[in-house]
Amino acid sequence: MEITLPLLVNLVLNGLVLGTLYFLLASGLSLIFGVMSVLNLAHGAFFMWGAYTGLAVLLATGNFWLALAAGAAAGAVLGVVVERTTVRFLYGKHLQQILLTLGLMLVLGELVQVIWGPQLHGFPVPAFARGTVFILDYPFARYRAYVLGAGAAVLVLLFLLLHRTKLGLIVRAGVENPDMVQALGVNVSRVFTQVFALGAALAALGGVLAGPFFRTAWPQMGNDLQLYAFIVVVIGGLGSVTGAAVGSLLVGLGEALMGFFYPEVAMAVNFGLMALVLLIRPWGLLGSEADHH
Amino acid sequence: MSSLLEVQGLQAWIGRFHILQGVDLSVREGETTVLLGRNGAGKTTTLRAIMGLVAVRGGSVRLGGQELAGKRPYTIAQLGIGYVPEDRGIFRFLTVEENLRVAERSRGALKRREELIFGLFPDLARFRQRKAGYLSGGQQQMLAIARALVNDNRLLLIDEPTKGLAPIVVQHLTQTLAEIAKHVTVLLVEQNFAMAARLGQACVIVDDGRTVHRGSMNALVNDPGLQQRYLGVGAQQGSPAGEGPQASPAGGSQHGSPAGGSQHGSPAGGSQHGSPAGGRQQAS
Ligand SMILES: Nc1ncnc2c1ncn2[C@@H]1O[C@H](COP(=O)(O)OP(=O)(O)OP(=O)(O)O)[C@@H](O)[C@H]1O
Ligand SMILES: [Mg+2]
Repeated sequence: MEITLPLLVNLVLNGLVLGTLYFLLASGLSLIFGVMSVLNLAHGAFFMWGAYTGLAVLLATGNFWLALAAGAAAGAVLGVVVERTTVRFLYGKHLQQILLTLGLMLVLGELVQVIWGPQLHGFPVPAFARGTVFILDYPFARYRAYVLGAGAAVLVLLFLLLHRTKLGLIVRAGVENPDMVQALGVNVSRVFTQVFALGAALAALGGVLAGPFFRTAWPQMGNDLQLYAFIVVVIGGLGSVTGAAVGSLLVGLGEALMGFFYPEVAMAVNFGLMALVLLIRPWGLLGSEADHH
Repeated sequence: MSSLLEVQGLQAWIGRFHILQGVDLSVREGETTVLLGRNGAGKTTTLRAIMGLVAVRGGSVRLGGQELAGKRPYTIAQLGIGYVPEDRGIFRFLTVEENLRVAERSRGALKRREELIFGLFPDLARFRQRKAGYLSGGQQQMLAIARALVNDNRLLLIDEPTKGLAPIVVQHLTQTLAEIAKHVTVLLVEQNFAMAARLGQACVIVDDGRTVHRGSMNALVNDPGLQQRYLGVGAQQGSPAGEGPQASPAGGSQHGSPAGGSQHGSPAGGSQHGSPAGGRQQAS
């Protein structure tokens, strides 16, 4: 097959779109791990619930912005409920956490099938985002350009949240030394709930954005992407949002390019990348060495 | 003077190990009480238990009459305790100013205390926007102490502030701590006996997780036998009779003398602490 420039540009842009979706999953995953040391295996379920909630709202109202807001809100609510009723009792107990979040992943996955059934659901592209745009004179699906814009906006907002607010300051301190944060008088219990809700909302927002990209919603969509998000988090460094952004783009680009040219080894390349990072910088590309005990 | 902190029969476990088996101590309002004991005696664990970072499984910890046992660390901190841990616990990837702002328990707290803090620690003012990880060991210790001053605390728990610092830095830090101690009640863990003697009015000695002695610092300074028995410091350490804890300038300059043997890391210190307790594995 001939590799033309337009093809390459398209693949790169698609890689960036995939990277955006991975980032929305991985940033929350990374923060939740960084601050609370919880490996949340149910994170993909938040993504999937966001997608289904968004789809329901989109079909009912025809308004994609409302669908985005509803999806993210559903994720936040789900995050608060899950943290307050289950996760909070198992901080510091890693084995139990894994069993719990694995159980939550299964329950949330089944629940969605009780309501919507096990089949695929078509997820329409909103009217305003149909058609093509030209990026550097090359045609590109308009919706995907919107996803890139949304990803950039979330990255900027998240950066501002982390670096310009008291909550962000506490989160950054908490990633380094959560015990010290609470010994200074910070109500970490409340912060944990907020971080968990934020992570869940980001994942759910990613789910809604992913819908029109895949043109479908399906019950395993969260779990399918969660695997990549874990790879991203390991590559980028646990607890680092910037690391999650860089890792997401690497994995997204790798996935799009390798998936096109050498589909049979695409996943192996991702794992290879992860293994390489683990060998050279076990704390991740942008994680802090201090956290790597 | 009434006692601000009253610890009775404190029991605590770390994992399966029964580390604290009955610690009693009281800290009188306005005074500096020094908590002494050999390596591994349970000093750090005592402070962590007071802060709620290690669960209190027996006994009581009262601050101004209020029970702290069973409360969460942040609640305990909010009741007015500033904690300076043995490992300093600074946030290396945050700037000096951000480290201080994390501690703010009310809006503008740092602003109100800025003058005091930067007056005591001019280095921190100079490196205000620098990442704390780039500070020297002494400056990191200053930051850890400064962080406990951001709020209007009633009591400071300070764990081995001079650990690993050069003698000249220790001397400077001792002066600063003496200044701070004029305004706030302190429970200090300190292995540098000269410094402990200079700063403390009262002392508590723990050994193997139990309180074995309580009294005035003055009496301990004048009782080489007591020092020998519980601290393993040589008899030559004992200052000549009459030289009380306030014999300060001399105390500060004694670091080159055998008294310096109680400093960390020196081979002499290691051999002097060759007690059964000292042989226990130290967590770090
Ligand atoms: N995580 C842990 N697991 C097991 N034992 C521990 C742990 N942490 C501390 N210990 C033990 O508890 C005892 C008390 O330790 P602690 O740190 O309170 O002593 P310390 O008096 O502060 O000593 P040092 O002067 O060396 O700082 C020691 O015997 C130590 O070995
Ligand atoms: Mg200690």
